[in-house]
Order: sequence, then C-alpha cells, then structure tokens
Amino acid sequence: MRLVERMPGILLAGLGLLLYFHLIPGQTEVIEYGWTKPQTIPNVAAWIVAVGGVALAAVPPPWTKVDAAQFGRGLFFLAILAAGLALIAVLDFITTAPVLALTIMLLVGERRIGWLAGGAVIVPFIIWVVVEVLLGRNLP
Amino acid sequence: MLDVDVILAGFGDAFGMVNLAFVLAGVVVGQFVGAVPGIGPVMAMAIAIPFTFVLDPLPAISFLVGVNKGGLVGGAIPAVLMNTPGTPDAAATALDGYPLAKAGKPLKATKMALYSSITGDTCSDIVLITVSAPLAVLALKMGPVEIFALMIFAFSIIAGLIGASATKGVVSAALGLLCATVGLDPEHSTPRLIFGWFELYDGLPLAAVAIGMLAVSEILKRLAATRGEVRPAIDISGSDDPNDKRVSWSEYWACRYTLLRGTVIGTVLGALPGIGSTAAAFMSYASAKHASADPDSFGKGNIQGIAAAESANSAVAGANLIPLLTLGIPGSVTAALIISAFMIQGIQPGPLLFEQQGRLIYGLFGAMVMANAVNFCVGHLTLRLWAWVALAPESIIFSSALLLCIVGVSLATGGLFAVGVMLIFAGVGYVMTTFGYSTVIFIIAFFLGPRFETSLSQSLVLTGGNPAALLKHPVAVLLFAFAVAAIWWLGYRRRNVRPVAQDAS
Repeated sequence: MRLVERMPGILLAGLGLLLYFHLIPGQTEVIEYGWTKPQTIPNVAAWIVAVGGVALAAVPPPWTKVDAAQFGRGLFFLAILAAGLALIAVLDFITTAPVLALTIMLLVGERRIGWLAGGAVIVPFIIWVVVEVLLGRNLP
Repeated sequence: MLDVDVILAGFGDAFGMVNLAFVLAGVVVGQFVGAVPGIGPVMAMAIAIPFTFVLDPLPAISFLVGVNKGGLVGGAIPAVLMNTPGTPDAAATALDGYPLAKAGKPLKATKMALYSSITGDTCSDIVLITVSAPLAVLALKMGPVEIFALMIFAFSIIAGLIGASATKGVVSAALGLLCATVGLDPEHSTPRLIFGWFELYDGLPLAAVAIGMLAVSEILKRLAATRGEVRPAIDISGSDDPNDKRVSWSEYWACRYTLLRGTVIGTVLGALPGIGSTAAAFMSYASAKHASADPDSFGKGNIQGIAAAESANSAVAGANLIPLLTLGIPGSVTAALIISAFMIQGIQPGPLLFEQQGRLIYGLFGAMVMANAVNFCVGHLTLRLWAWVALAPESIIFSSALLLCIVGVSLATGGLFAVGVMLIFAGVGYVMTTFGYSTVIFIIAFFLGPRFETSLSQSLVLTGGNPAALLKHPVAVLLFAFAVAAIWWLGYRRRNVRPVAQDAS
C-alpha cells in the first residue's frame, strides 16, 4: 500500500489525538460531579476518530483517486465565496451579489450575455423582491 | 389513543386553501429542482428550511414534503430525456427510460415515470399513516437506556450502509457528534469548544451546518468539475403515433405486479435507516428484470423497467418518515432536514409528537396525501416545461443557488457569522466527500448529538454506572449486540463485496 493511501488515516489519527490532548482540555471546564462530564462525549468522539484513523491507516479501503487540479479548483471557488462574504460584510448583499454571481459564472466559462445578465441582475433582483418586499426581512 | 376529532381536525387543516397553496408551491419547486441535474430536492430543502421559519408549522413542513415528493418526479425527466438523472435515484429510471425516449416515445417514458412514482409514493404514505401511531405507542414504552441503545444501533446501521467503508462511516458519525457538542453542555451548562466565540453558546447553527455540508459543498464539487462546455441539447424526436405519447390503462395495468413489488421494496427499505431511495430503485429494477419473462428486453426501453425503478424510489419517501415520527431518529438526510424544520418551529420530533401535536401530525399526513395528487396534476401539465428547464446552464443554476444559500442562512440566524460557519462546513463537506467520507452520516449524527448525550446521561443515572444493571434492560442489550454485529458484518462485507447503498448527499 502506498503512503498516499494511508495518509487520510494518519491525518485523522493525528486529529483525534490533537483533539483529545490539546483542544478538548483547553476548551472545556473541569467538573467533578455528575456521571457525564463536559469532556465525556467530545473525548469519546476524539477517540473514535483517532482509532478509526489508525484502522484506516493500517488497512486502507480501496483508494479513490483524487484529481488534484479539480480538488484545488473547488477550494478556489470556496475562496471566492469567502471573499464574497467579506465584501458583503463591508458593503452589503445587494451591491456584492451581482459581482459574486458574475464572477462565478465567468469562472465557470459562461460567456452568453443573456445568461450572464440573468444570473447577475435578474436573480439578485428577484431575491431582493422576495426577501425585502414580500417577506419584509432585511438582506445582510 | 388519538381522538377521531384530532385526526379529522388535522386532515381538515391539511386540505385548507392555504396549506394547499404551500403544497403546490413545494411540488412545483421540487419538480423544478429535480429536473435540473445538480441541484436535487435535498439541496432545495436545505436551502428552503430557513425561509420556512416565518411560516406556521404545518405549511412549512407541507412545503418541504412537497419539495421532496416533487423532486422524486422531476428527477426522472432528465434521466429519460438526456440520460442524465436529475437525482441519483433516477439513475435506474434512465436504464430503460432513455432507450424508450430514443425510440421516439419520450412522452410515454416520462408519463410512465410519473404514474409509477405517484403509485409508489401513495402506497407508502398509506403504510406510514397506518403503522406510525401504533409504533409510536410502542416507542413510548422505551426508556432512556433503550433509546440510547437504539441510537447506537441506528448509527451502526447508517455508518455501515452509507458510503464505501464502515470505518469511514463511524469516523463521520464521530465527527458529527463532536460538532454537536459545541456550545453549552446540557448537564452542567458550561461552554464547550466555542473558542471564544460567544455566538457559539447555542451551538453551531443548524441551518449553517446543513446547508454548508449538503448544498454548498455539492455545488463546489460541481463547479470544480465544470469546464465551460455547453450542456448538450435534448436530441430526441417524438413519434407521431398518439399511442406513443400516452400510457394506456392496459399498459399501466400490465405493470401492476412490478409496481407492487417496487412499492414493497421501497417501503421496507425506506423504513430502515440508511438505505435510501437509490438502492431501493436498483434493487427493484434488478428484481423486476429477474422476474420478467423477457429479461433481455430490460435496458432497451421496457416500460416495466421504468415502473420498477420509479415506484421503489418514490415509495421510500413516505416510509422514511416512520423512524422519524415514531422514534425521532432520521433514517435519511431528507428526514434529518425535516427534523431541523420541526426544531426551527420549536417542535421536538419523536413518539410524544402524536400525543402533544396529534393535530399537526395528521395534518402532515393529509398534506402528504394531497401532495401526491398535486404531484400528479402538476407533473401531467408541466412535463414539457421541465424538459426545457433542464437545459438551463449550470452557471446560472449554481450562482443562484449560492446566493440563496447565503441569504437563507443569514435570515435564519440573523447575521453573517453563521454564513461564515456555513462556508467552513462547506469546505469540510467538500473534503469529506472528495475522500469518501459520508456527509449524510455526519449530518444525522450532528442532529442526534444532543439527544444522544442526554440519553447517555440519563442511562448512567438509571443504571448507577453499573454495566450489570443493563441486564434489567434486555431490549437495550439486544440492540447493543445488534449494533456490534452490524458494524462487524457490514464492515466485513465492505471489504469483500461491492457496496450496496450509496445515499445521496
């Protein structure tokens, strides 16, 4: 078995140990009474993750080949969304939504003016009508 | 035992004009999202849940049920016309649907899919309505120890059946359970794992986690795979023979045994947590082919193949709610989303629901029956419209869906913090699905986490922490044994046999 096939299991085992020895003790209070303590379920979950990780590293299931470029592309789109969220926080949804929608559509490869206008203008407008006019709620 | 008055009042609420309007809206939305490959009713339900917060409980749940049922019908349309299932459970429908459409009978194929779907769905709803109340009475006899054991058993089954590896399933469940502990500890009310964010005192926002993992992560996966190609147009010409544009009564009646078999398979599998409509559809298809006098005709446009697949995948929908309404345990991601809708309305699903909210439950049953009728009428009128909609480019579909996710989560939680949480879980879900870890199990564990911890605490109090005291709870001991056996057997099967079920996220 190649190391790459064991890597997810190794990482999971590391995550479980990190949770158990560092994160959970630092993020929970120590209570002496009661059958279940604040750390009980988190520790159980951390141990399951750690043991599961060891099992997956020892006997990896059939390996699903991951297209690294495609995976990175997905993370890139996630970064675009995060940037969009930051922009919404600074400006507002109505200003940001057309820019965000247009960016995503262009990155996907859409070049037809009609569809671009639909996604960047008409859809945000419909959202505004439904949320602020019909439902009476405020957009971010 | 419920009053007949309560049952009648519930059905009366369901068949009112307001509720009918929401059921109709849900069915239309469901058929639309089902017809467009890449979205699906699960994603649509996840996005719609925050918007239902402003509604009363019955219209809100009825709308979501309509979305689910409409999606089951809509998913068959691109499967038949483009060999591209709109939803995973329609993949079996495409096996005979697409060849029949290519033979010049697209309308016959789509109509048979519609009729089969309605038949399976209606029959399983009848089963749900008749068995859930008695099962709920039985469930009330279960104490915290039995409930805890049942949850362990449900986790083991779901982890073993969904996804490619039982170990990965258990890890996914553990991660979901871990995320459910964020916030105040239910026993001592001390903050846990909030990392200084006071917004997390009430835990991770339900809507943010569900939408992030189920909708946004799926969209990221689809966006990552796009290369800017134009979706191929529907290249099917219909026949001029009127008989090729309809399904006659004799053709429908000739499929009665196939429909019955598919309905039974779908209902039984739907009542069991973790199996899902895709597995039911393929199991029914294989069974119909095996029982057929002409098995070689399957895969070449045999109308029985469409009937088998669609009746089974739709029968799962009603039966899925049996463990949800009787035990409060979701057996599928759809049921988990309906739980979140209940919880947003301040209602805790479980066996007490029949006692405390009997009118709502029977209103829900009435809405489900009505949704089947509406599904039939809308489907009949709009088959051609959805075929056109299925051609919409992914660029506008996904950008619009992402905007709706952002708006939905911010409306549900009142701020952008939860949108940030949504994006984090979108990343987590994207990584999980890329490496074969099920987000469905994660979501179910996340929903059940608080109840799991409470029942564990109560069990320990009742047994005094003494394992020997479990012997006074033989049902619990049996369930624990089943759980261990399920993990071992399903884990062993995964190493040696091709996986049976791949549920949709």
